[in-house]
Amino acid sequence: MIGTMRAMAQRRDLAGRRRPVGLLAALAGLWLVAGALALGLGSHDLGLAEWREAFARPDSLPGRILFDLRLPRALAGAVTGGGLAFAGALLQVLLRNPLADPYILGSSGGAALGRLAALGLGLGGPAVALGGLAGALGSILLVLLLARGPGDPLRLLLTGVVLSAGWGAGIAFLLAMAPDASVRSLLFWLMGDLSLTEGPSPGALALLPGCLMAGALVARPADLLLRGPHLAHALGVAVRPLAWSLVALAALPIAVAVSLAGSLGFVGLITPHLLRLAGLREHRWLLPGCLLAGGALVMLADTAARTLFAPRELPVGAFMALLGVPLMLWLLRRRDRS
Amino acid sequence: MTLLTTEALTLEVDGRRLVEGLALAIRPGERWCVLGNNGTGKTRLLETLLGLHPPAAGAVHLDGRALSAWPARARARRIGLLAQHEEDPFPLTVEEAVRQGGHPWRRDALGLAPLPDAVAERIEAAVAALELAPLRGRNVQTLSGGERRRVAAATLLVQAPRLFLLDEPTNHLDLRHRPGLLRPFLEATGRGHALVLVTHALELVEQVATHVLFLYGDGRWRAGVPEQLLTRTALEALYGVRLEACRTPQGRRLWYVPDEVGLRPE
Repeated sequence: MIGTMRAMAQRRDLAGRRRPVGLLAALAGLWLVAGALALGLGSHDLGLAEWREAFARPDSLPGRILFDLRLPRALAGAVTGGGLAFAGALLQVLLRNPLADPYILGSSGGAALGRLAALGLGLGGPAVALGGLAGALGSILLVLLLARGPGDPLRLLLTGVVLSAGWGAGIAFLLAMAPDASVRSLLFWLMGDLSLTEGPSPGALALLPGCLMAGALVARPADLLLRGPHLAHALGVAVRPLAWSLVALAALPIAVAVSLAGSLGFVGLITPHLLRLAGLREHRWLLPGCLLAGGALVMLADTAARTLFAPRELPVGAFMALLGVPLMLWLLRRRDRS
Repeated sequence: MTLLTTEALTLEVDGRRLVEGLALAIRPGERWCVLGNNGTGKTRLLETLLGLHPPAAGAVHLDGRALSAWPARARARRIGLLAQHEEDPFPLTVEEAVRQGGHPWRRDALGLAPLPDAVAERIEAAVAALELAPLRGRNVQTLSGGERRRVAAATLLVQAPRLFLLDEPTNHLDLRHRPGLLRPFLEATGRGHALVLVTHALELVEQVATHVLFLYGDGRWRAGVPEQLLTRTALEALYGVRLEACRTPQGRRLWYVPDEVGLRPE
């Protein structure tokens, strides 16, 4: 009897219908909670009355805290985390490598260098962010060019690693030359930091729904490519166009994320793995799951980073690493056991 | 109407010419066995027929149309491969893996619509035929080599292309599952599908082949019917080894290498 029930329960799991939907709903809930915490908590915790005041009079003090300070930062966290997790999942498909993360194609180093170059030229604000964006995209393009397209995962990986090392050297050089005052903010940026963000532009915000829709287009073929290019080809996937679409789809959120928050680590690597372990193995579930879970993780980590040691703020990247390192080790242990 | 033809097909790997000027015509119901030593281009041939590599020269026509002219999913409804190895760097259940065989038959390429009923029926049939029911929920990464083979075979049965390419399908399989894996494919040839089978198992070739293709690895090849090619002289020349045959009580011919191990001279 119990055996039959267990078998039935297992069957339902495997049919892969009910559980992913429930999980996605739970992730959406988590995303909302993380957002509410990011808006409500801080040096000045907002009570119910202040929330009401903020919405009634946006130019009141609670209103300015909410709409000018916390909302842009929470949105930046949501876009950054969601985009990085989404891009990480896509690059893991492209490279068929569980260790692939959004920066595997040298994008973070490229972005840092682009940013530093813009700063060095004495440019300010938006130009610096644009420099980062261009650096990230430029690095990805350069890797693709040097690796002769996205078809060979090993060549892509090695080219990315080598190029990243090159960027690292460039960054070290520029840091050594930079005036001391700017080094601290640069270091924070290199670790991943949301404290200086002015929030995502409307274009960057459109990234989340954009990724959601584009993800739906590649989800099925991505499931197949994850099992190897030969199998995918045999089952009717046009592998080369798919590989190019995956890179293109990953590049944009990565570039936007680094220009918003610097090279924020771990979220793009760990989120897809966690969700796969939780049962979202098919990409039509995994990709929206990444957008939600990645955003929620970064919003939570950033809220913690700026409240736990108040009035001091930690860079959210350091906090993500604090969460990420034990999580990743635990994942690896679990994998070894299975 | 032929399912697949090759015209003057030449295969090269790393500048070595393995097959030269191959002319094949595979018709519905035929079961081709491809024989040859290691590295003579057997797998390369299957992969070229599937369009994974462009041929060094010559052409492949599938269902009367150049192979490369087929849209990917339409091609996959006509030709499919059971590869020698599968890679699975990420977790996936057996059920999910087998369902992927239905991809070419989805009504939309995005796979938003449910699988057609015929595919759903094939999934159940393939799971039953390959005794995968107890493994349905297992992670494919934790399966043994033979179990993976059965999952891959079930996926191909769900794909149900007109022409099956099987690359050493009985590798890793225990004695119990060997006939079980091949039977559904052989039955399908009775319904107008065709089969190209790469194998070293001559006892299998004796039982199933309607046609035989020899690859010598130096560009030469021979194609014909079993009565022509499955002879002692021809096989010895192909493999470069002394062979002998005996009969089973049922009268089937069994080929063996008399001094295979070389330790106990007879």
